[in-house]
Amino acid sequence: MITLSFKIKKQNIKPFVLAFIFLLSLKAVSQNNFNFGFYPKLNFSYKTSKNLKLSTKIESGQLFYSKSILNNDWNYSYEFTEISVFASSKIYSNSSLNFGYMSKIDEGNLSHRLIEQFTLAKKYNGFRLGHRFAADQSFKTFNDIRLRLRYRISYETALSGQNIDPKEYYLKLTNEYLYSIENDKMNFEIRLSPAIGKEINKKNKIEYSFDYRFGKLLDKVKVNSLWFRLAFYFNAK
Amino acid sequence: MKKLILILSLISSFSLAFSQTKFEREYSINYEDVPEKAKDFINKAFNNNKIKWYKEVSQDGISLEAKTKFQKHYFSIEFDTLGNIQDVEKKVKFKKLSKDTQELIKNSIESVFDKYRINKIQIHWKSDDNTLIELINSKINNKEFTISYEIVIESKSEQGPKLYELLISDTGNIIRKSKIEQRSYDNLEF
Repeated sequence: MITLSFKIKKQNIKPFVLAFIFLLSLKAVSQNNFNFGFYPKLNFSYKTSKNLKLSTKIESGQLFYSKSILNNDWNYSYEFTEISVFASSKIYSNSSLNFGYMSKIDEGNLSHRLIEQFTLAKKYNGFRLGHRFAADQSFKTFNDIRLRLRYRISYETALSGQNIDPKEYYLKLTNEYLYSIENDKMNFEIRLSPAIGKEINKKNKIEYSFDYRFGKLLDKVKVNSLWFRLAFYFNAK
Repeated sequence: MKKLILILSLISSFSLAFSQTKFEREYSINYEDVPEKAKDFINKAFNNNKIKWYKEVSQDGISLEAKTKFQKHYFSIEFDTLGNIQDVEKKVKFKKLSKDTQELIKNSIESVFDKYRINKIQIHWKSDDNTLIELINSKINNKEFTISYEIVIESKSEQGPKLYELLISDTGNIIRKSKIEQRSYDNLEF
């Protein structure tokens, strides 16, 4: 087993531990449904011109454990695959507008999603904050559309030194809020994700994270999902 | 459950195989490892302020840095490995500089860049220990010291928006101009 070796600052590890305890406590108090699985991601970006970047993202969800009113079982099942493409235009060096399309294959069904988002990454003394504002429209047919508005805040800080240098580890915490409308029915979801990342170089990264999703908050039966995620971010140019 | 742990271990091992020798650019150091000369300067200049110490390895060699927030400003004090002071940097807002200094800086930047915006300014001071301590504590003195301005600007170029770092002298000459290679933020974007 390869071990991670870096100097951990107490003040940086504390939010990670608190976030993880929060994730576990949410599971403990959650109602009926709970799913646990693996959700890897590969993100590949290529800069085509001075302001335009194309990105492709592939993600796949696999469940290892599922608990509901009817069952309670450790059982592997492949759940879905999502393939997205985005066109990104830089506004300033730290902000961009993205327009994307995603296909999702889920239990043999194909659904589509259009995505529009604005991202701002602001550097402070010793950490970076990311703000992502997004809207998406998902549909299988044109009669069945789900609209969502999303806001995600991310906090990123080095685990050694003040800046994240190549070959160094960092901590990232993200918190997202999603508001959805489908068939005139509203709903709400909260996501929380602590991650440890490694900066391979200034363009490429690997991240390990837990992604907790507390969904259908306005329904009687809520949905809890805890995903272990492995994400690769590559930039070709 | 055992199968799950094995799968996760294999996945971690595989991905970590990409990472080999660690090359440290800047890392925290313990107070005990800081030369006495550097500690003395910091104690005189900042009293009991909380200080973070770093060792910086770069193409220019190895230096030590003390970073702190004092009187609402961020300071960075650079020493050589023996504890001799190199310079003091103080982060300021452009609007807080005198009108003459603002004009000087604008003229320097506009001699090279058409469209830009200023992201960050730091005042650089070089002098003897006592003069630097007085400058840190905002005491006006008639002693000799060198002042320059390190500025990070964003400029729109043919290649898109880019960040540059300029070092400008107190007479408006650009001593150094370098492009900053930014970390990508696709992990915050997607």
